[in-house]
Amino acid sequence: MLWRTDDGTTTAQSSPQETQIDVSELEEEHQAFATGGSSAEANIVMQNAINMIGYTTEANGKGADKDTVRFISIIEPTTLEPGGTSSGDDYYRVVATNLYETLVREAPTDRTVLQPMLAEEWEIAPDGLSVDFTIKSGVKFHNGTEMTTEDVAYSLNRAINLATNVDLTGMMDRAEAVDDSHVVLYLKYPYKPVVNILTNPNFAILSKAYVEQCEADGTNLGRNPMGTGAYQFVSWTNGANITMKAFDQWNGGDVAIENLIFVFISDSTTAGIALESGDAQLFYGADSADLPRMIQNPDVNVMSVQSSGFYFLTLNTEDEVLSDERVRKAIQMAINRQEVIDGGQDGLGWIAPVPITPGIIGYPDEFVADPQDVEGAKALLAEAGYSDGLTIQLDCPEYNHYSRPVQVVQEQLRRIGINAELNIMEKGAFDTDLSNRNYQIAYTWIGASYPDADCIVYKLFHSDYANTTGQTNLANVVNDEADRLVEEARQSLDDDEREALYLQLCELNQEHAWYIPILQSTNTVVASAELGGVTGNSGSFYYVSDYTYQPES
Amino acid sequence: MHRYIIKRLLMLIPVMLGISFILYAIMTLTPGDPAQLILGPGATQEAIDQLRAELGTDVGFWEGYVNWLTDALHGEFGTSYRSKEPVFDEVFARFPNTLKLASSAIIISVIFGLAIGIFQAVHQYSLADNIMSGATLVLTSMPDFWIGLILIIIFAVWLKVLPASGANHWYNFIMPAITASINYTANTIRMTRSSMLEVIRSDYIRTARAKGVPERTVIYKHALKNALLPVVTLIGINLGWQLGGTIIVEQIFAIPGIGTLMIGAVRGKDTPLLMASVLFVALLSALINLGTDILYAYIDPRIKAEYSK
Amino acid sequence: MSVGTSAKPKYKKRSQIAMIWRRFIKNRMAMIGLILFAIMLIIAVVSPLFINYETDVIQQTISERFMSPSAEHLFGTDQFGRDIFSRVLWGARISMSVGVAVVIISLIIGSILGAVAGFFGGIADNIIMRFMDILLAIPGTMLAITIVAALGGGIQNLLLALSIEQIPKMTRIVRSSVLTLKTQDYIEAARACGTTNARIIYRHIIPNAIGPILVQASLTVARTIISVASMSFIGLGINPPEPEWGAMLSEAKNQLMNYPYLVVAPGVAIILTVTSLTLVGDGLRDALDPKMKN
Repeated sequence: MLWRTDDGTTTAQSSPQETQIDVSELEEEHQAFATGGSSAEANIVMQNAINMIGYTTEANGKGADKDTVRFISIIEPTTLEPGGTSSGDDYYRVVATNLYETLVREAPTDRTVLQPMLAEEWEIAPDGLSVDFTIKSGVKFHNGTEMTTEDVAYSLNRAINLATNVDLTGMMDRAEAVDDSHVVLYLKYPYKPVVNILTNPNFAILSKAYVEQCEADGTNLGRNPMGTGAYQFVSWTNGANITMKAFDQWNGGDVAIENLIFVFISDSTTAGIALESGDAQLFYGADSADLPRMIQNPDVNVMSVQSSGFYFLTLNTEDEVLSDERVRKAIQMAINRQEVIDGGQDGLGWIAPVPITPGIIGYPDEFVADPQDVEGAKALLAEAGYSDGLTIQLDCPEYNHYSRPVQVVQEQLRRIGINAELNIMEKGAFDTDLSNRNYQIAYTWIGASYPDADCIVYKLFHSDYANTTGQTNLANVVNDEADRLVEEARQSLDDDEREALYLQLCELNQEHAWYIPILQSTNTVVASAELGGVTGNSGSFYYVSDYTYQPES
Repeated sequence: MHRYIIKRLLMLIPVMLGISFILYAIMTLTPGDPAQLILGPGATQEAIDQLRAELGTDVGFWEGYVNWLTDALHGEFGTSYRSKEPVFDEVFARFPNTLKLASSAIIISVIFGLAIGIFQAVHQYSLADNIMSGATLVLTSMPDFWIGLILIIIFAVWLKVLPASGANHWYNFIMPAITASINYTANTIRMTRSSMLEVIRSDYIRTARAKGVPERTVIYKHALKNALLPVVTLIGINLGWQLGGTIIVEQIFAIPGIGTLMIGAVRGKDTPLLMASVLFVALLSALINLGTDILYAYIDPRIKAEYSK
Repeated sequence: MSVGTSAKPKYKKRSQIAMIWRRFIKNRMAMIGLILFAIMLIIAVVSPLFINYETDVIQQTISERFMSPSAEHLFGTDQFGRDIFSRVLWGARISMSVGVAVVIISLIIGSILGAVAGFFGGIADNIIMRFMDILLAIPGTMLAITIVAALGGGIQNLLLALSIEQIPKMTRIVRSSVLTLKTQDYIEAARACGTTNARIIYRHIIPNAIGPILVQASLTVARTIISVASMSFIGLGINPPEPEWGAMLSEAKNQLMNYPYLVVAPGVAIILTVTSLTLVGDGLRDALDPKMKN
């Protein structure tokens, strides 16, 4: 993959007319999603539309080494130790997915479907207090040793006890190897989606002997990772790249791509240039500003699906000003979500009317969002005693995908007479402030760690989590009705009933304006057109072992 | 001379201590907590407390600084909070890129700075001199990141002849080095020009000319040698300064150097890593400055005599 | 920081300053710089008369994103549909005021520290100058970036960080002026008359050090404008929606592949302002330095 000058095969605008049509179709699709239609369907349509554009022109055969894939990520992971970083760290996940394996994995196209990985099958006990996993036999670690049920139990227990996983492991008690092929995970209380949690790469299976050896001789596991994945670690050049090669004894068989190099380019614009010039084949973390153009570029495919979470405004109800419901309602009425998507995300994204991710269990399809009402908002503010305007702090983390949309929100608030002073904060300081409820309004993101509404809304709305460091009842909602709804929904086994309860909860949220969901972002990987088998994935699991170079035509 | 060098080296000790104190204060007394950052927004108080204890950030400011200092005096600068790698492993992994960038920028600035500066001095008040002076002035006024953007647009986006990012090959450094060198080149041109003009007007050059020494010899043998003195200092200062000043260029061209490491460390609240990287660069640039002064003394006997007093 | 004020000094040294001014106006480049700077300054001051901050500078029109330059939008519109021309002009107010504010802050603190260090010498001098050495020993923009990154963006933190960066330079300049002046006869005479130290510093030393300070001030404003832009460029500058030039360039960078022309207007605005200030600073230095009287 040497850099070379333009060989004439790059992005010459193949047929502007055709592309134009495709893009306008795409825009129509956006409008369709915007009206809140069935999102799963929309999701597929969107992806088809994008794929169609990508596949209309054939790969031009650029790129010399057909056995090497260079995968750009805009952020270098800090460590490759499972559990060495927070369970939501997508940049760790993108790399670790190829290095480690978990017991189960999410199906690439539908995250509610689980597929076997290191576990061949699993069974939840009738009392719901344990899960029995049948472990695949003959699995080798990268150092050649065979994986045992001891290793599996050790890895799970390790993950259960790690501080980084506490948000996921509350219901888990311990894991035990019962024989050569079975591991049982014991739970503290029944929790159906528990197996979904195990897809998280923080639950990767490690070699017990290797980890203990690392601990004994002081080797940094995070820089010398060893698992059972399709690729084994070769080297890590700090700040530049991580090199891996295909593991010849991988339990999944042979792979087409021999060498996998993760390249870290922090600037998304230059990263995009590297991909489009054929210097790399995959790119995770593209800026929305570049996507409309890349969609038109026949050399690359933009694989976009709805991400597992949504961006929202949280209004701190403990704050003096925001404790007044009229102010919160006014803010809610000021928001025009489509404008935020168009101005802040270059039109890429979907309206998020409710604090639940579409496509997961419990998503209330029937919810109707109140429309934007600037005059009504002004009237409410005046009623609350702020007819001369109001100054408020609006916080967001420093990344473009937060700071750009929030500027549109800032403008919309200005139109109703609220002077929102924007604090674009370093992520750590932002998290600390949110965790301690030291904020007025914040624009942030929450995702579903597993595809069930409960994992988002319980902690957002239950009063037990209000004013508690580290818990995500960020708005400090203390409301009996909300407590009742989330508790009943958690206990119910009937999906329709749960959906009805969540619909009530979302309506309650709109009535009191605690959280204002704004937009559903895309989870995007951009792939060179010559690479086949790449699909979008809302969970950021990109298994390069599934990919092949398209045969040259 | 030796006493002078030793004195300067000894003076570095309080300076480095001062820097470490200021950095430690900035990192620990400002908002944001490394444990919170590593664990993510969903972390519970117990988990945060546990990690704080592991990282050693659960102590007060003074105790923390004294702990750091005690370890540092034993040569232990700790491990990065995030990667758990020894901090100097990270610094030395990144440093070659910064050094390559800074030194190639300096080489460019010296070559073009001297050539153009001398040309201008010799042809003072000519049209070319005026145009070059104007151009130099505009170059000093350009923010380096802006030059970087323009270069990327021209060479990476339009002409597609140079890569916009990376640090694997020598050609990765062409655009960054030019970008980083522009301001220094302009300064070197200005300095060379004015220093040459001053020398050319001096008595001994006038004498040489009067004696009928050929103009070429006057300029290149007599004048240049003396005019170079201030330029040498400038180059030394520039190199020391460049080592810490390529941050923005590294950011634009995604070069994994000390600058990007440092920004990552500040944003990640990685105190040991930040302290190590800044102290390393500060020490190095101080040593380069000292080296420049010594070199200067050797070139100019007058100054050497002064130091020896 | 306009040079015009120095032409009409309140001090007795009228003749000398008049001479400097005469030398200054004879310098063609310096005059070009002064005129250019005056134009930028006038733009900054009068722009509120023809640009409405609320409706022209920060108001978004999402339906008019990325419009090409036209009669209505001379430089086109940005990602939020705002008129770039209005924003660039308004940006002059921000850059200039931050530049001047940094100079004033660093000048006040630097003069006090420098005057104390130079005038009293001894321990005071040692403590102050060693502290300045520490600040100066952190190379490049590392110190300012560390401070802003740690404290967060926003104008106060930016002013703090950039001033801390400039204070050591100001202190050094004032100190060395004071050191050369201190030994001169008229200071000795003033002291012999029983004039207090504070009065000597205030009445005699500072006015006489004003030349080098002015040179440094004009160059500092120029450097600060670039520093502010650089900080905004890497996301550590002034918070939106203020139309700071560096922040505009940072936004333009995201659109580099789509609308490369967006980098032109803010970039040229920075270059013009900084060039004019550099010319003024150079001209002042030449006018002050008798050696350059050719």
